[in-house]
Amino acid sequence: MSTVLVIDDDPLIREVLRILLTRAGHLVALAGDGEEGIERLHAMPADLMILDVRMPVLDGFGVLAHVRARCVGLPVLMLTAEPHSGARAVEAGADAYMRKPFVNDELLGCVERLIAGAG
Amino acid sequence: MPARLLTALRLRRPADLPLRFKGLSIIALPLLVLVVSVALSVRVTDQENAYQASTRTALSTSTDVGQTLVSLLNAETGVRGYVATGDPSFLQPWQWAQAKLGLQLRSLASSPAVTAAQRRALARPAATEMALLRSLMRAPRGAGTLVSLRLRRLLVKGKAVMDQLRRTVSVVQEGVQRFLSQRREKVRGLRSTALAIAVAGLSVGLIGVLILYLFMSRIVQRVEAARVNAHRLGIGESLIEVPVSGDEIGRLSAELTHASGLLASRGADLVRAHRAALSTAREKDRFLSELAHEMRTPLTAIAGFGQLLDASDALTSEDAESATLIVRAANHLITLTDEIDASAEGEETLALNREPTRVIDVGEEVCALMGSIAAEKHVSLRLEVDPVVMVWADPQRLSQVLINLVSNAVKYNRVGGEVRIGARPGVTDRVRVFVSDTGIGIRAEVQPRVFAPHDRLDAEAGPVPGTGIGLALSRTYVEAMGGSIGLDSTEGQGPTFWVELPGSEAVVAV
Repeated sequence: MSTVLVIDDDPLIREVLRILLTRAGHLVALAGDGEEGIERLHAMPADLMILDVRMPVLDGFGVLAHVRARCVGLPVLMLTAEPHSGARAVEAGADAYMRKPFVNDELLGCVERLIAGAG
Repeated sequence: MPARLLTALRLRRPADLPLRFKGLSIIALPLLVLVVSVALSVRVTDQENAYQASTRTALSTSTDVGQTLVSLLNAETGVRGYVATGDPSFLQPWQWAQAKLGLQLRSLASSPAVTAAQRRALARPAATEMALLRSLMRAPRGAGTLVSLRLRRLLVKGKAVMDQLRRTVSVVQEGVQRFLSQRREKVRGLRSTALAIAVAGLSVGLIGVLILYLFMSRIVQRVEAARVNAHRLGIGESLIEVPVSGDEIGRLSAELTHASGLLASRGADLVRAHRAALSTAREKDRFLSELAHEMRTPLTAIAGFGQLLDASDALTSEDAESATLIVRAANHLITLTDEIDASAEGEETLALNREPTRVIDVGEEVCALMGSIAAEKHVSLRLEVDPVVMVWADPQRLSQVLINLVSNAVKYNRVGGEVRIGARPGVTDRVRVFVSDTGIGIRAEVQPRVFAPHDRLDAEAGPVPGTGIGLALSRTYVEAMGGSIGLDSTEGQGPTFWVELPGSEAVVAV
């Protein structure tokens, strides 16, 4: 049983991910913006972070910088909507990125790989 | 018309006169002088001929006078000798004189050089002399020595008549001489007049030719200036200044200037319109990419929930089918947003990485990628490329272009059709790579728009996924690589799309 922290400002996407990951047997924590996500992370350590790029208050890159400074081993999967932010995400230290909209099975596969790799 | 012409001529400056009047007057001037000098010289020649004729007459009159005098003298001497000696041999000169004198006197009297009074003076003593001589012949004479009184009287009278006649003839002779010298003077005068006229005509003619030459070269110069201006107008440069004038060439130049002004203002309008269009296009691209981005979030939810539903085992078969349709529709929308993103990206400058590229390698990659899509539609892909054919291109971009062309060829093909990828040498060191299919073809009237962005040709032909920007993007790529893209199609026959790229020497593999 591993914990996945999902940070996305869109409640529908949070809900899709919650159902998808729960069904796949993961514990899911949710946050609606970057700051809330960091608070959650400090309150309850996670095994994987799924991170949106464009968010209010603190965006995905802000969160990623914080994570890389504080929680060195945490794998981060970034979800991007912009055509070029995937490469930027990898440069900024994300372990993987997926373009929105994603294929559910591909996302699950990626999640499994990242958790297995970190473990 | 002539009245109008006159008013027109009066109101205009010489520079504004129509060319035909200028040319005509310039040619007419020397022509007039030439005609006058020819007429004058004809007249001079006529007069000269007339003078020469009358001179000839005067000369022959002068000869007549001399001969008449000789005849008179001969006759008189002969008669006197006969009277004095009674020797009949003295009568021979008299007889000759008698035969000729009448004729000679008549000839003399008829000469135009002899005045009427002189003519009368000549006729009378001549007749008297002849009568006297006849009387002398008949007069009685002695046997050689005795001369009667009557005979002596006759001789004296005859002497007086002879003297008078001789004087008259001398006067005539003097008159003829005077007449001759006057004629000579006149002819000399006429000759110098003729010469002066010829010289004047020649110089005026030469001046005329010079003026004509200057006039013609001026016209040629102005026409040349107009030609240069027409050329500059054609290549869009500003015109050179030409003097204002109202004649045909002046009007031509004025029209050119006018056209240049119009062109300049149109050009400025075009530049403004072009800028506006560019900025609109950029605005539109920004809007589109923003729209695509905004669509991604709800699309992610739709696709995500759809897939969750689709994966559920708890659905009725009808609901499961609905879930599948939701996923398929979402995937279609995802394709659209991908293409919109690609379009916006295509507007940005392309980073190219050109190298000698083997067409068959790219072709194989494309066939591998497109194989499954083609198989779905039962379309067979055939790659017919000579392995030695190389192009100078970015293999990544060429591959994208070919994927797009093949994807279209599959998309618009009939089920069970065929797509061929080939390559052959094009014009001047270029290589033509083509993709042909067995689809419905493209109508001639829409062919020019095929490579324009956002123009779906199949709006009425049925739903096929895609935004129609693929070909526009392909064109951008191909043109960035220094190539061209085109299409040969007859409706009803499958189209052949081609890409022409600079050829490349084969790089020998080490």
